[in-house]
Amino acid sequence: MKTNYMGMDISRREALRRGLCGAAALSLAGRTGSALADVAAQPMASAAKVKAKSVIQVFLWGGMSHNDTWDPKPEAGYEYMGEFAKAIPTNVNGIQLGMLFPELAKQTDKFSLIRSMTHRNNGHETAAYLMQTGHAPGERISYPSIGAVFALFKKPSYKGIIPPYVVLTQPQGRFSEEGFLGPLYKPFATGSDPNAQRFEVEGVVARGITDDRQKSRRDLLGKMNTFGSQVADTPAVSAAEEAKKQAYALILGEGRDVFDLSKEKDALRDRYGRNTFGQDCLAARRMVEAGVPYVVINYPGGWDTHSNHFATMRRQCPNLDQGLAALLADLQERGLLETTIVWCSGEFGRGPKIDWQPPWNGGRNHYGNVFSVLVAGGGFKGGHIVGESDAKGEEVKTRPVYPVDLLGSIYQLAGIDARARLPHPMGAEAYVLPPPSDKVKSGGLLTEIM
Amino acid sequence: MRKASWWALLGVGSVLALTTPATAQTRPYIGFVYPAGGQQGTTFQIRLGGQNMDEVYAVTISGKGVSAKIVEYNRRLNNQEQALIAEQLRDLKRAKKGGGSGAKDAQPMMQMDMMSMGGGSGGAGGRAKPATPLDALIERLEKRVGMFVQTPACASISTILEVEITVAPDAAPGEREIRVVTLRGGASNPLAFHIGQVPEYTRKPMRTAQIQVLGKEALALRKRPTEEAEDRINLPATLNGQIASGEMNLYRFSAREGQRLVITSLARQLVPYIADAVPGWFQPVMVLYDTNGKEVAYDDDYRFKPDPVIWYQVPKSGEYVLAIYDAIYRGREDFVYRLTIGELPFITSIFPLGGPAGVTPAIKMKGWNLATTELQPPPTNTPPGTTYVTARRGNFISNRVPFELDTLPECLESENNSKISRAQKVTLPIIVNGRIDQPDDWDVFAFTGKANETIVAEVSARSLDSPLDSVLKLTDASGKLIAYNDDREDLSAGLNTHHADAYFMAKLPADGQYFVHLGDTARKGGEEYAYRLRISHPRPDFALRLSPSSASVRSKNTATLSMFVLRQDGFTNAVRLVLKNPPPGFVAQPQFLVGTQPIARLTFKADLPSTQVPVALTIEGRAKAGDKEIAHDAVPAEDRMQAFLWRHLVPAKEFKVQVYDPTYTLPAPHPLPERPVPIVTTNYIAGTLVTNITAGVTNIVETVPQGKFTKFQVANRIRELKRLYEEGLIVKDFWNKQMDDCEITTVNLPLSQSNAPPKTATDAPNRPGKKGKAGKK
Repeated sequence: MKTNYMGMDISRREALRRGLCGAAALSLAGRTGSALADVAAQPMASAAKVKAKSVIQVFLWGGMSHNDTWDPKPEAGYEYMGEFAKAIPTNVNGIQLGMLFPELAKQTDKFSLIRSMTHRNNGHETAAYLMQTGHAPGERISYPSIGAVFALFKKPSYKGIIPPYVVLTQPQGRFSEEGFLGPLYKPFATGSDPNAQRFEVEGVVARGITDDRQKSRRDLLGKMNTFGSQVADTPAVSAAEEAKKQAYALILGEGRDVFDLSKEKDALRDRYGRNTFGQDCLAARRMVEAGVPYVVINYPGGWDTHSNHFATMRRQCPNLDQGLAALLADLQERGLLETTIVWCSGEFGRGPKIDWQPPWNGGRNHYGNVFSVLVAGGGFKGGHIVGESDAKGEEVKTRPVYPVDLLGSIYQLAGIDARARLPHPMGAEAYVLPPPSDKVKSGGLLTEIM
Repeated sequence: MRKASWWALLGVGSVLALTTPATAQTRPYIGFVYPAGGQQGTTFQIRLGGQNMDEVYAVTISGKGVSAKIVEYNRRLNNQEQALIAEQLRDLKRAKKGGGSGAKDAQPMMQMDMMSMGGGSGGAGGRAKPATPLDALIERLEKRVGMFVQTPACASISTILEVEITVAPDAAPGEREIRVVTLRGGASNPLAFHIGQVPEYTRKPMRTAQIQVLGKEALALRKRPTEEAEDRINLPATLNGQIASGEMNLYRFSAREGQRLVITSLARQLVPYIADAVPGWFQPVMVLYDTNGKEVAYDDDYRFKPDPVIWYQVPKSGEYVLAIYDAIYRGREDFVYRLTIGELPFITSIFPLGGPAGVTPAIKMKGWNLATTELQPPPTNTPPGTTYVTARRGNFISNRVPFELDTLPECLESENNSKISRAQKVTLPIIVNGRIDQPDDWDVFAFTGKANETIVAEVSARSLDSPLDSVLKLTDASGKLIAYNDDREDLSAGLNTHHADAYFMAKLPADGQYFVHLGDTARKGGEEYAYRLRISHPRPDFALRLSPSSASVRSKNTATLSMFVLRQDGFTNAVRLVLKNPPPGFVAQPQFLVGTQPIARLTFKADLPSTQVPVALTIEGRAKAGDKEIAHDAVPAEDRMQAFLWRHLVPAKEFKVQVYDPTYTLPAPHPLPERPVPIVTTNYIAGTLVTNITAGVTNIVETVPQGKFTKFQVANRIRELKRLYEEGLIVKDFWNKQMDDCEITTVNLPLSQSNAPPKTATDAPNRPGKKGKAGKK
């Protein structure tokens, strides 16, 4: 993403490298009188009502099958279930999970499952947009994702050094998460791999460069910065200097420690799973601990299992199961689950009827008619099922839940007014979620688990 | 072709995706055939790409005058098999240098290869004959190793079958169906195969394309030598090619001033729907350049069809270059095209689009190079429904265009009927043959109706290749709207993705005069915007679609088929499904489709041990309509997906059934040799010595490293080795060496399975393989 930072046509990551944006850039935006800063004046729920301080969104991009995972249909037969016909009991009576989720089955009291999520949209881009903005794709305005909205609304209260909206580890690339809010609200993508020996967060930890070398680079830059010393009184330059200090604090100070997973005990790292997703979850927990309002884990590898479905599920589900279960347990053990929403979903589910034809040869295709979402913490009760799909997982049977219902519930728990107007750069009328006058389909907020 | 009412179709559409049988996993599948045809009186080699083609014993082409002989079967190898062949290749090359045992072993192997493969490495083309059997084997293995692509763009088209086709000089030109037949899977899905009449140019077949990784697409592109981009051709010609990702194919030719060139293309028509591509088919673009490189003609769609057609009158003698590529520069081995270029007859439109059955119609045609041609009307004994007409010049025929025959009274539209006040009066029932002559034209027809009378208006235009995108209105004399329709979903549409023909069924509110208005949705019009408009009382009827278009049944066993019923004009009567004049040995209990039920399962039994080849079976539906009985044959079809989502029933010419004996196996080209069974005297634990007693001699073989392979891995390896040997891809020495490793590692595994001699043709008489085995390598 190229943008214009103080007259320079550079990427956000490059800007962070140069010490001009990132976390610091958000404060810059305020100081330079950006219209976006006016959002501080938006109505917010009182602190007492705010249950969720942070959100961890596990996005299973590509779309994970619901039948094979969190809405098992053992009675549906081979044409629907293939080799995953078995469902397993959980630690909550009456709730079963797919056979590949034994660890989550031990933590089911900590989360609830929406089994009647629906939007009937089968396109990756459009469904991903719908699930993360709550707005219908194809409108004139490109809305920001929930993470960008969090960054916007939490900015006045969030003082952390790490950017408020972080993605582990790669942006999804299906739509522009910042929407009309602009590049300052684009998520900070860490890059690299937290399962690697050294989690080299891009722009924070430079590849192959030692701390000493990094510090000496800063000193050299300081010595060479004759322009800066001569015009130090200029407000813009002062702001840039401040931003640079903060960026280096992120690179060399406490911010960097958050990304240093070696500070965790081996046993805990093992518990999360020594794989990219497991360590993503651990990194997310550390960020939440540091107060980051919104962390997205884009599941590495994706779930778009048109073909090779069963082998992919056998490979990926155990990692998802272990990482997510460890995250929920760890958050609770640290007292963080009460204030941290964890939600996990793809942009849609996958076809309940297995497609045996070539080229799929036993695959599942896109399916937005009904699918499942996991929600936990931050005010969401655990151990409940919301809604149900029909006998084969083809349609919603009871209590449809639409994207506005899910996102609206998260916003409410986080104290963000879903009716608040967003600061559109051209002054267009835009709200966090579609106002009632838009008459978008809704099954109501998830009050039964809030 | 009858059409169903929209509500019934929606119901059918929703279950279409739910009827794919699990047996699709074993049914052979072909995703492309290249070249997709050939000239009369020639013999040439084609390549079919697909999956599940093990035990292929025949390739069939519908109609008379075309025969096929299997030359070489190259199934998709897995990584381990590829590594084994590559390792052996290295051994053989070393042996060739040193004259080792591999060279000796290759002799009998190659002799067998020569016999079973009809003499060679098939596809080696004009290359010099290898000096020795070892050289030949090395050459063949190198070719095989070179074909391997670890991650194909589409694995389900990466198994390759090479076939030699012979077309008789008098074989009828036009489209046929080609299928692959395997011992257990029966006949595959059909693909189009065209018999042409002009000389052909065929480019070298494409290697299997690699999958493209987002952001690193360039790495998967093939490195085509620059000189291969352009071919020089002489007119007239048919040009066969495959389009690779990012590539453009060029053809240079000389043309004379005044020549009226027609360039037609077949691409979407060859592989109608591709499931894992968006758009869901090869979307070709043709561009014609003059000597100076200036673009003189361009087409990406011929009207509403994705395959382009160019007409070009040559203004100046000289060289011209024709280019073809995908509209968004995609490409893969199933992006096959077949272009024909020359002063060829081409019909652009006919009028009327149909006529009464049993009468020789007067048909006017428009097009290119038709001056000396004659239009062939359908014979008078052609039954009602859609047939095709062509223009003929001697033995040379033009493109074919659809023509509909019906039993209702017909009339021609009288122009100047664009308003209610000038409406053309008709008496029901009637089929009006008309045109939307000019942009923004409406044709209005008046009839007298009674209160509560139900009236149907149905347009047949797009289904008959007319560009008209019809819209229908029913009004009373005051202009008050009573019914309106633009498009109607039509499950029988096959390759036509825009269901543009309008339809309504409406109840009249009162006695009086009513007006049916017909126009084009986009307000377009012209001479080719022809239509047939039926205005009548409901004519309840049905059509049947049977999917898939082939089945394979075990001896004396049953098979279940999916039957879709398309109901027309509110038809709700029960349809009785029966086998029509079945060949001996096939029986089925009649099955009923009732009410609005859109789909039924029809089970039939094959009460015979086997069929020599797949046989055609017809299923008929019979139903009462009023006081008479109507009957229709089920149209075989393939349920194909396009662009990851939409599904279409693509009609096929025949429904083919094979009955097979499950105990029968095709004889292996290279039967596995006997191998002594090792006797283990000690337990196999890491570091323990294992002994192998062969012919009474005890040898210390090797110290066994514990846990080198799992039992599962070893069993797999033994299967792979057996298969590679039987296919002639590894020689005896190498097989023995590899088997030694397996047996050392798994000394207490039962090995009998890998040594058991297979059942062969001699064990099971009356097998298709007795005749078909010659084709199997």
